[in-house]
Amino acid sequence: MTATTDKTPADAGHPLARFPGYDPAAPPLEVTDLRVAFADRPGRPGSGSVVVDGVSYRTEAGRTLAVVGESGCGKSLTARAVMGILPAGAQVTGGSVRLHGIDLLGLDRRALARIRGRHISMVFQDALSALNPVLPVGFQIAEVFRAHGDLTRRQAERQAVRMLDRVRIPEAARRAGHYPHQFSGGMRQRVMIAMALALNPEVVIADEPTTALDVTVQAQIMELLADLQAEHSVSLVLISHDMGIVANAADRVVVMYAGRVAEQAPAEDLYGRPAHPYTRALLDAIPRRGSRGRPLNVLQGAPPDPADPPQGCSFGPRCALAGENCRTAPPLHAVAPHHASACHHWKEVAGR
Amino acid sequence: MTDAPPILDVRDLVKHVPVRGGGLLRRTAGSLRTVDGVSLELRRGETLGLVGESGCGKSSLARLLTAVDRPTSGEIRLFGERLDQLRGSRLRAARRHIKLVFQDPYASLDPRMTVEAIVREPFVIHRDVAPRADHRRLVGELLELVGLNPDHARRYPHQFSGGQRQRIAIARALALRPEILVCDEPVSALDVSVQAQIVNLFSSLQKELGIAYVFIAHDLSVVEHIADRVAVMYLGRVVEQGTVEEVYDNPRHPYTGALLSAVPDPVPDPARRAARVGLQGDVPSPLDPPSGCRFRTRCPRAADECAAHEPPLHAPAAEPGHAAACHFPLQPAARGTAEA
Repeated sequence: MTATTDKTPADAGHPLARFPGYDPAAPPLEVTDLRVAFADRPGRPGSGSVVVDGVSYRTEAGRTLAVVGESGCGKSLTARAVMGILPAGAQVTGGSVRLHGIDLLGLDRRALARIRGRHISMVFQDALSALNPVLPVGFQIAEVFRAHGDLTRRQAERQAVRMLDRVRIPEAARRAGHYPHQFSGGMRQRVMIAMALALNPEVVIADEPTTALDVTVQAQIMELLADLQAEHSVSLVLISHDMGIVANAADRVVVMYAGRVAEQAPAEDLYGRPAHPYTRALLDAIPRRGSRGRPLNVLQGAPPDPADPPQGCSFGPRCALAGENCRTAPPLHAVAPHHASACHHWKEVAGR
Repeated sequence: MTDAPPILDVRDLVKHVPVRGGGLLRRTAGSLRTVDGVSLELRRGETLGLVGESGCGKSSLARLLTAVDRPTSGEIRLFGERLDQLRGSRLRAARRHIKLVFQDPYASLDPRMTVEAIVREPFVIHRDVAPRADHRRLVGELLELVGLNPDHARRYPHQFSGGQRQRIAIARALALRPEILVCDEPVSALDVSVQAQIVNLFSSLQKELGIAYVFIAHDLSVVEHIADRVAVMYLGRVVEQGTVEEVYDNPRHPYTGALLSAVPDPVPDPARRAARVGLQGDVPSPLDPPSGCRFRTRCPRAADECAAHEPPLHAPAAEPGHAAACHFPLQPAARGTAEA
C-alpha cells in the first residue's frame, strides 16, 4: 500500500512537510501547558472556569498513552482541544499542541482540515451518535477517502470495503451497504475505528472506545486496536476511566484530576508504585479477587467545582495526607525516571 | 441457612414478547424469548448476582421479579404466594416486599419533584403504612440511612451528583422496608470511586436491615465482591449457577470461562496481553436462537452433540449446588492451569 510507504517521516516529500515546523523526529503528538476555559457569560468564550489547567503530555509512535480520571477531570476536553472540536463556549487560553512539531493551534481552518482525519483522528465513545443514521456505513467511510484524496467515488467505496475487512467485519462488501442501526454496538465501534484509521494517521485519540460495550466485546475491540496499532505504528491516546482496560493496553499513563495532571508514569510503575494519593485511591476503589466481604476503600467527597477551585492542591480537600504545605499547589515533579507526581507527600504514598 | 425456605422461588419462568412485522396486516413475525425457562431461588439476607452480556435477558427478568411485567408462563413465589397470579390490591400489597433499583439515576428520578416528594411517594401510594404526620420524619430517617443529609430534602435531583442520586433512588426503594431489592446495574453509570461508595452502601444496608438482593451487573468484579451466589445468563437461560467461589474459581460452562477471562485485570502484565481466551462474535438474535445449546455458535468446545440436544442445567455429585448447562464442561485440571 503506497499510502504507508510515503509516510516514512524522513521523506522530504512527506505530506506534512509543507506545514511550518514539521520535524519528523518530534513526538507524534506533544501537548504543552494546555489551558481550556469555559465562558462565564454568553458571548465571552474562555473568560470563566478553567477546566484544563496546564496539561502536558507527549506520545510515541507505536505506543499507547492512556489518560485516566473521573468524569469532569478534563480528559475529554483536552482531547477535544487537541482535535480543535471544543464545545461552544470553551476555548483554548494557553499552551500548544504539536503534531510532529507542527503547531496545530496556530493553523488556519483549511490547513487544519487537511491534517485532521488524515494525520490525527478520533474514535468516539458513542458510535451510534457519531455515525450518520441515514447513510450506509460504507458511504461514510468512503467520504473520508474522498475528502482527503482524489479517489473516484467507486475507488473510495472499494477502499471502504477494504477497511471494513481490516477491522474484521464479516462479509464486508455486503455490510458496507448497511446502515448504522443494523450493526451491534461492537460492530459499530469497529466501523468508527475503520473511519479513524482509514488514512493511516500518525495519531489516533480513542475516547472511552469500549465504555458502552460488554466485557467480551470490549476485549475484542481492545485487541483489534492493539493489532492495528502494531501494523502501522500508530501513536494511540486512550482516554478511559477504567483502570482495568488501561492496565492491559497502556505503555504510559497520565492521571488527571480537576483539570491537571496529578501523576504520569510508565504503566507498570503507576500501578506498582503510585506516587499520588488520588492514583492510589482510584486503584483501591476497584473490587478485586480477595476483597470479598470487606468494604472497598472509598474516596470521600467529590471533585472541586471548576468555578470555585480550592486554594493550593486541588485534591487537598479529599486527601488523607494533606498537611500545611498543601496550601500551595504542588508542581508536577520527577519522583523516579519517567515518573512524575504533583504531590508534596508522594513519598508517603509510594512508601505504603 | 440453606434449610430455610427461599423467600423468592422462581420456576421455569418464560417471557415471550411478540414482534410484529411491517406492512398493513402487522402480522406477528415471531416472538422474542427474552427469558426462556429460568429457575432461581433467593434466601433471606443473601445476594444473588446475575451476570451476562447485554440482551441475555437480565433486565427482563428483573421486571418480571418485581411484577412490572407478567411472565408468559412459569411461577414466581414470593413468601410462598404466587406473585405472577396476583391482581389488584393484593398485587399492590405484595409489591411492597420486592423493589427495583434502576441503572440510571438521571432518568429514574422525576426532575420536577423534590427529594422529599420522591422518597415520600411510596407512603402516599401505600397509605396504610404510616400516618401522614410521620412522613417527614420517615423521609429524614431514610435519607440518613443512605448517607444523605436530611436537610437537603427540599432540593431537586439536578442539585445532586450521580452517586447521590443513586442514594436517593435507594432511599425510595427502601421506604416500605422491602425484604428484597432487585438492583438492575445500579453502579454501571457511576465513576469508580463513587461506585465503591454505593457498593459499600449496599453491603452495610444488608447488614443493618437483613435485606436480600438480586444484583444484576455486567461488571463481573463488582458481582464477585458483593454476591453470595451467582447465576450466569445467556440468551434468556441460566447456563451456570453456584456460589461465588464455585463459579469464579472453577467455572464449568465455557461461556462463564470466556466472560471471566475477558475481565481486564487491573495489573499491567505485557505477557498476558496476548494470552486471553477471546470470545468471538456477538450474541445471536433471541428471535432465532441456535438449535441445541445456544452458546454453541461461539463455543470453542462445540461438537455435533451440542447442535442436536440442548444440555440441561446439571450439578455433579461432588458440587451439588454448582450447576452448569454444558455437554462438555470445563474440567478442574484445565481450570487449574488458567489460575496459575
